[in-house]
Amino acid sequence: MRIPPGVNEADYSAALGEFARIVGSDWVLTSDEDMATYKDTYSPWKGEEKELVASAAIAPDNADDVQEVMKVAHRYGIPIYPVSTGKNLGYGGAAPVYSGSVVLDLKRMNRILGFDETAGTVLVEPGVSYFDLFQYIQERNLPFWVDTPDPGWGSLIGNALDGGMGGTYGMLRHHYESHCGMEVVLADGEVLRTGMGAMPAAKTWQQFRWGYGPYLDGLFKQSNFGVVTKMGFWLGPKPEAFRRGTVFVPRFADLETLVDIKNYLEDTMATNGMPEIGSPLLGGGDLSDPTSAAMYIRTDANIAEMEAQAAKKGGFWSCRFAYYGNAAVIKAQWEHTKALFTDRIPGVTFQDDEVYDLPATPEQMAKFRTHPTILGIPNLLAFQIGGRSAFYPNPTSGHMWFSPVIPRTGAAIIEANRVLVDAAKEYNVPLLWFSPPVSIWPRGQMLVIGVPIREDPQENEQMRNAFRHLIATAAEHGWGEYRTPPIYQDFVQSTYSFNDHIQRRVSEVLKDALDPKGILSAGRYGIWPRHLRKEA
Amino acid sequence: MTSRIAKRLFHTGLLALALGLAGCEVKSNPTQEESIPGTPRLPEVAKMDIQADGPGLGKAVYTKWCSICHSDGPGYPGTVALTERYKGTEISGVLLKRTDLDPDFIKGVVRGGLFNMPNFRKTEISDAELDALANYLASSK
Ligand SMILES: Cc1cc2nc3c(=O)[nH]c(=O)nc-3n(C[C@H](O)[C@H](O)[C@H](O)COP(=O)(O)OP(=O)(O)OC[C@H]3O[C@@H](n4cnc5c(N)ncnc54)[C@H](O)[C@@H]3O)c2cc1C
Repeated sequence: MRIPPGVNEADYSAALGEFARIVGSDWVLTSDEDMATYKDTYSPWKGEEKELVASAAIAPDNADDVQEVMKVAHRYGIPIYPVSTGKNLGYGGAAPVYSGSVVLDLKRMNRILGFDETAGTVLVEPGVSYFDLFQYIQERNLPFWVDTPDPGWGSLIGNALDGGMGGTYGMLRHHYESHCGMEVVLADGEVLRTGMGAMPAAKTWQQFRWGYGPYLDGLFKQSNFGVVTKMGFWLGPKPEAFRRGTVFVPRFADLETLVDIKNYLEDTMATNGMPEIGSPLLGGGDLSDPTSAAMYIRTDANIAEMEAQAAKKGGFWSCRFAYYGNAAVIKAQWEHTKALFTDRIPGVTFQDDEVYDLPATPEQMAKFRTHPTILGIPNLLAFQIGGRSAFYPNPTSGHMWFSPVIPRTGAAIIEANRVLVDAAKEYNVPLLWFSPPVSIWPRGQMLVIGVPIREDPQENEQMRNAFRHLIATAAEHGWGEYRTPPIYQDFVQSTYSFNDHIQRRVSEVLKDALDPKGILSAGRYGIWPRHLRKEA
Repeated sequence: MTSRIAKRLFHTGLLALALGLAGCEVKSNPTQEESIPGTPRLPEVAKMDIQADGPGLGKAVYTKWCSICHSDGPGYPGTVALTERYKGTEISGVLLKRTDLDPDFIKGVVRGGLFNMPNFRKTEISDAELDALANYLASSK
């Protein structure tokens, strides 16, 4: 049996005994076989000595048990790492950031505790997945839908706490931003309810997120200050209709105006879906095509030649817009979109894509071209990325996501791609050749690039080094990562260094105050408890 | 066929991205009636409150955890991968059509993961549920 670092054997077995008394001995897992299931299947240190492992896992059934577990852990100084569904693939899986910690696996807590059918809000436990919530709504035929990330088996709580995102309405896509109210068990077992939940008789815990006094919820995003045992979320109403249309612009330089107009449409809420910028010149993945937009990034290909090619392919750049709502209103919004582009970009062309009246029958839905996530349907389609297929015969064993936030301009898209393609070239890895930005957040734009993990340690080392180099290069240019796998969390935190790293220093003050023994999720997002801080 | 699907997936996916193949095609002229090949059907509602040793358990576990990736159709990543893996052999890429599955092998893959497929812990699929699943997959044809 493995013993967590810094804990003596007698204390550890006493603690395990108490954990078993609280959650039942079946739900205190310690065997090597079980611990193997708490590794990150997408670990960049796969099979190597540095691979992050848990010493044990404890799986409580309810918030009271979590509270008792934390009291025991606090008494004995046991390092604890909570996960909700523990499916944070690409960003760490269920493995603790501080190797040897005991994972607090909250998956068994999978109840939907409250569903307000008037307000469209829900209160859930950590183990509730997007599939679960979707099914709950379908079974009851409720007039709501779920904003889901691509992996439907992830949890609302884990995904939101890690800063995750989905694909429907602008105001709901950022899952942390669409939460309202939480219950948190602190490191010593105290229970905090945030927002209106601080008032025992409150009727608006899931409706008014600001409560009274300082807004404390933010402390629990990408931090290690508490175990979240309940969280409220806002749902989207099922729209009456859905519409998508694509805009094509002919010249390389049109990207600038295209992004400007897209921003304006989002900021005025004239489009409420997720705009997708792309380029017909990206072809089907043919890197040797001299007229590909990627070649411009890679080799400074001749723009005039590429524009001639773009004329044949329908455009140089494209942007697909999505609209949810009343059929007549969203039709007008698409017309408004077209009018803005016609006014400002000579030669722009449009394509009406799908128009659906909703709700659709399952038979109609089976015919939809739209990615299910965009229609609020949880699924696992994205796991084809890196998976074996005729298109991709050599499958990966996972990947980690590189995702720098860049300014909301066309120039930034080109600059970031050029800089990062060059950085990847230095490591001789075929990491990216042109990445369109994703505008998941109505006010944000980022690149999201999957870096493959394989079974070969040498290749993984090369990818790890390249990844680190990409983070450093991006940071030099002012493009910060929004989220990152555990092995880079320290490093990325160190790039947020304004005023001698005061962001980290303030987080450390909070850490010491809220978790004086430093037992919760040590190292997560680069925040270490006092006893584990490296001397500066 | 599969290649088209994969390419399409890369740009229809929420995160149209890389793995060494960043930013693939943005199709310029999709026709209105074309559907995403294999857009997953709505997940079947799988209740897991069936008695642990009840006869329906294996199927319920399959429906809840496996069908979302391994159903028959091009939009299911597990099926796409296995179809490519067993191309040119008698072996089906669809789990429920396999005749060669050994219960211990199934348990190993579920607990250990394989390529992109992550592992599943006891809090997701208990030992009893895994036994039922393995027997269901090994026997149902
Ligand atoms: C192919 C692919 C596609 C993806 N697409 C998306 C996407 O579209 N959008 C997206 O956001 N992500 C995406 N991801 C990333 C990731 O898989 C998802 O975000 C996933 O939902 C996160 O897993 P989870 O919900 O199980 O979180 P968990 O693993 O449960 O939680 C994540 C982390 O948050 C902390 N935490 C969790 N619960 C608690 C708690 N109760 N108290 C305190 N701390 C807690 C823990 O440190 C934990 O490690 C994708 C990954 C892959 C591989």
